[in-house]
Amino acid sequence: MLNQISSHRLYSLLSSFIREIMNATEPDLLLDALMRIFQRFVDCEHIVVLDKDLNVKKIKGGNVEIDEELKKMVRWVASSHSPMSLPKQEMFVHIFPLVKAGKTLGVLLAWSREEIVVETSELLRTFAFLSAVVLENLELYSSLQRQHMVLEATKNYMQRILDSFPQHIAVFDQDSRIVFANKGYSLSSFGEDAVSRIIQLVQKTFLTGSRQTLEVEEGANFYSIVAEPVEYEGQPQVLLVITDVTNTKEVERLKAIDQLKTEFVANISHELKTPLAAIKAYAETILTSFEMFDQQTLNEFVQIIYKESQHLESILEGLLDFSKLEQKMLILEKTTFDLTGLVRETMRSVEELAKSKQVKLELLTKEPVLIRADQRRIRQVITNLLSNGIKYSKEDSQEKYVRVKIERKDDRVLIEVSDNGIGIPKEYHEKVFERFFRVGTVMDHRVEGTGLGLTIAKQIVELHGGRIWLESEPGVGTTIFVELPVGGER
Amino acid sequence: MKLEEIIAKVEELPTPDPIVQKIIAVASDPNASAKDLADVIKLDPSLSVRVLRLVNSAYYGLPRKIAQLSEAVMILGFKTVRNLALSVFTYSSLMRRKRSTIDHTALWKHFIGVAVASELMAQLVGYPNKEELFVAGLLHDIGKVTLEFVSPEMFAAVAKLTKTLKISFFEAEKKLNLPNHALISMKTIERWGLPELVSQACGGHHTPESFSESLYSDVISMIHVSDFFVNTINYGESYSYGGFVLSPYALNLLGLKPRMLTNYLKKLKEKLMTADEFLKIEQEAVS
Repeated sequence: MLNQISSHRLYSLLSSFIREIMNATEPDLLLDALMRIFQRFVDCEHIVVLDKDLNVKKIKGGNVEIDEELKKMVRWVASSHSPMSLPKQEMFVHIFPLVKAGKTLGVLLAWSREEIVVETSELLRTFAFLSAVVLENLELYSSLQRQHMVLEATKNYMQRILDSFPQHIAVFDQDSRIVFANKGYSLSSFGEDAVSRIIQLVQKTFLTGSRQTLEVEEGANFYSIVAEPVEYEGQPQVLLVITDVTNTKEVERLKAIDQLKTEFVANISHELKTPLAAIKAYAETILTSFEMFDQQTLNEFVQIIYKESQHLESILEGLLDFSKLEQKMLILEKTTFDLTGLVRETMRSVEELAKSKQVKLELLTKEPVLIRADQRRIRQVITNLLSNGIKYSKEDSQEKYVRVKIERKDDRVLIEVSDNGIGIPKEYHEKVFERFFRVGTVMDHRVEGTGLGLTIAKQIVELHGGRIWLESEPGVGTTIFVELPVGGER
Repeated sequence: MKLEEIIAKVEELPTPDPIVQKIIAVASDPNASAKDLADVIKLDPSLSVRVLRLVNSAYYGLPRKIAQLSEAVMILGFKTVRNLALSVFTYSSLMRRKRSTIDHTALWKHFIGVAVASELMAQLVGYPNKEELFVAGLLHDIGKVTLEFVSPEMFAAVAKLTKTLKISFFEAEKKLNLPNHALISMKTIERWGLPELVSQACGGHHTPESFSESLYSDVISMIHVSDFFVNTINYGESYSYGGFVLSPYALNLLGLKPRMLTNYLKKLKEKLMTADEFLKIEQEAVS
């Protein structure tokens, strides 16, 4: 017969075919190899490969018409998975399905003038089946590659979006390694302490499995940090978002100061008005009814006027001090003096106020403690602390006191002013030293004061190179600590 | 009765007539052409007519009518046409024994059922040479016919046992100490000169695991699974009334998953509806 095959020829053809399909990296190359092997077995004038929807995919040997009848036969081959040789106008159309496990992936049509014998037909059918297996793999491979490209593009797209965020965004795995970060992410602007707090926050999120937040102040900037648990491929991860909220914080702070200033003006007006009203009323009384009063009454009235004007003066001095301190214009005039003596004197000056509130003043230190400092300013501080202790005593309690203890520790002096008054809630312990702040604005309006006393005291103490702080419990009492360097000569 | 004794009797069985033998020979010749095969079939006009009728039956569902045998050979392939000739022959030799106690029509239906199921199974698992599966499916139980030919009493005894005990034909044979029909099928087919693939597939169809070393172990497994399903859907009659076992070995070998089998069963039922022509080969052809 025409297309009889020797086994030697068969093996070499098989080897070539296997080599070609092994190297085929895309469906096109595979189909080329298949068409070539067909050509080697059968002298074909045309070869056409159709895809699974029976559209022409590849043509070899010039265009050829596929008429309606042939199409029907092709469909039959595709559904029955059986090859067919169709006699057609003095030629044969050999139709072979490319089948992989019950699925037709395409059809090969070969036009030849010769018939195909049983063995060749069986062989070509086997080649067609083999090709289908490889074809499917190649198609799967290229669809995987396409998917991969789409994924890559999506990833880049998302990365660009995330990069454009002003936030620092990062994702951590369980070993606290970064698995994703946007362009802006960096911890380099944070100090060691802040970095370790952030890492701890991430670890805490892993432990608790719930959202954690943190606020960090770094230099002049404020950061809001949110760590959120996420999951990727069944593994827990943590999404960290760091937002710079400095601007928001600054606005908040300015608003608070503005509010405090408004309160301060209202407060100070009230403070100024009280002594002024007294002065004005007594002066008017004297002016209109001077002859109706006896000497003693007049004397009392003038005393009141004098005292109130002194009070007025002290308020104004306070204001002046404050503005000097604010503008850093206050200059200390240091002399060496006995601190114990100064406290004793100051106590005497507030004795009357203490009596009116039934508060007992006690000085626990008897021996003199020498210190080099601005005597007038230190007195101002002590006055303020004593009068605060008296003013904020508990109204209905018995045995009210303000005690002062002075202790020398190496080159420093510690003054403790303690009372058993109303105390200060913990959240205000820092704030009482801030400008214009009065716990009273929050708690009590009955107590007079500018709200500047402790602020000024703090600034004076700090100007001396000292510290001021407090311990307090609401309803139990407050102790204010002032630590000053002994200063100068020792 | 021993296998040897039965085999000795098999020698007396009707062999395919010379024309069918020639058909088998031509279809197995690697260098045969369509014309060669057509020329042999044409020697028996009644066979030609019946083969052409099957070619144009709904089972093949060809888009156009085929009038010439040589055309049929080209379009459907050598082996399919050989299978049709063999079907006609098997049918005739089965129906010739009018006095038999077996319901030949029902047994023939079982043969065709397994033939169709096996060819479909080949398609399902991606085995290219599906025509050989058709003929193996067709002849897998031919041993039952042989047994009935050799000893109708023995056949009746087996049939009675399977019916009363609700066990398979294969188990009943074992209980009666008879050689199993699968082996008798194998011997019968060997005598007919069909390829080894066909004889072995039939010989092992009840015990695929004991043929694991065979060159054709996958084909054996396909016949086994197909036979099981045709029995379960009660298509025809195989003289087995229960005790059907599906070999896990066969399922594993073919990589068949339950979902695939459900799908297969659905397709099989559809395919069997188109196979009616095979059930009435003789009827019109006689006239």
